[in-house]
Amino acid sequence: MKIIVKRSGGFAGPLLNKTLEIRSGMLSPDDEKALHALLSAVPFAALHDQRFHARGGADIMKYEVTIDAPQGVAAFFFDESAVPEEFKPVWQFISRHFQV
Amino acid sequence: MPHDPSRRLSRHFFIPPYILDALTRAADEAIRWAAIESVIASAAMRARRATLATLPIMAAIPSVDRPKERRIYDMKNGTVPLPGKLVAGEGVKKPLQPGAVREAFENLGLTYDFYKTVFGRNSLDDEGQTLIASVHYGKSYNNAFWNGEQMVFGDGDGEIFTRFTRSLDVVGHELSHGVVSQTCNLEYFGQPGALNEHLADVFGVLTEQWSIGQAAAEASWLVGAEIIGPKTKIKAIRTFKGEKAFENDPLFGTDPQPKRMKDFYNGADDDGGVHINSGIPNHAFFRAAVALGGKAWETVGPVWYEALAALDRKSDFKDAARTTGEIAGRLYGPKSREAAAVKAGWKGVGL
Repeated sequence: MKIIVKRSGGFAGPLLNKTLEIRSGMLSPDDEKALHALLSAVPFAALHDQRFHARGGADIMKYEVTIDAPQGVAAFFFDESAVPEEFKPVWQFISRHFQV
Repeated sequence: MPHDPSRRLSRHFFIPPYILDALTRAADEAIRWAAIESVIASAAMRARRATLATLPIMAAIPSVDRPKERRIYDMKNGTVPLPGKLVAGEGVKKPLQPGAVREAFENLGLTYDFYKTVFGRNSLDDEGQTLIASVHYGKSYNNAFWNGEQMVFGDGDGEIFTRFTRSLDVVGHELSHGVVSQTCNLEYFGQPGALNEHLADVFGVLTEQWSIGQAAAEASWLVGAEIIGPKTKIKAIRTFKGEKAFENDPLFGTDPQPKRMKDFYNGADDDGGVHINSGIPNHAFFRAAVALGGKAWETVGPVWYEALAALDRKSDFKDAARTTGEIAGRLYGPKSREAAAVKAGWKGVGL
């Protein structure tokens, strides 16, 4: 399993661009099991290649996510305040365990 | 000062109720029905306002006569749902301890006062819109943003950045995005997006200069100096001056902002360089302000404020240069030193 999160945007612009890579083995066995369970509910085909933009706003962080997991493969993009509903549980898990 | 605060920039307008009432009895059927529809719509709006007034989360409810109204919410390090728990505001009676809540409350108040005192503008929409901000957003969150409805401030990680509420020019910047969205509403991409960032930076630094009575020649012209944490040596995030805010920093590298059109960033990153290319109009503004001397909010400030209403969603740098030149000529005279300074400012950056 590999999840890559590329962050851009924000008040400081490109100063805070960041890439986070989550690989198998980085989490405890229990947490990894929990993440896999959450990934099982993600509709990969529906998310792939999609862009989710917030209405209006400025200085909002933006995220480009690439997931390569046994459950599926997808790459998609969203603004901080437009996290796709189907991905929210995984996003909340990632936000809890990593600084994104 | 040439700016007439009675000239509103807002796109909103109201027909007084007594005129509407008279029009509902007009002989012309089309006028009569239009008036009746307006009365029905007004009643619906009043009902909506009454309903919203009972809710803890105050939506932006416009009212021409409304005084300054702030609402500060605490996200308690979460990110959803906004705006969080109401902790401060006009009418919320509790002493504010030093920290993000008090900083947001005070800095929103100063920004409101700046627009009201200098330009006669009553809040974001010029109709008394409630200013809403959420603080303590996320954990060690290194950002502040305007989400189209409210301001959101992170605490910073304490290393690279400290609390974003600490900086008046940052708070003024985010609130000014709200003003931009209520006026020219520049799209957030490419040159219009860079102008959006530029205008937010301009009114952010002007708010700070106004709050301490600082002349253009004395000002730092730095953006975000107060939020820089102890783990970095950069002096600020951006500067209006013709220099880099930081160079060869181990963490941030070199300030990517160009100051002249020949160095314009053409890439796709940062929504087509909105925080990068804003360095060009920022520097043009700086050149004009410093050339004129005195207090920038009294000299070039009114020109840029009027430009908020004259620009549109797709305006680019050339439009901004032409528009501010025309406004300076109208406000001060076509051959005035102010008009010349504005034109020279843009020419100095290659426009």
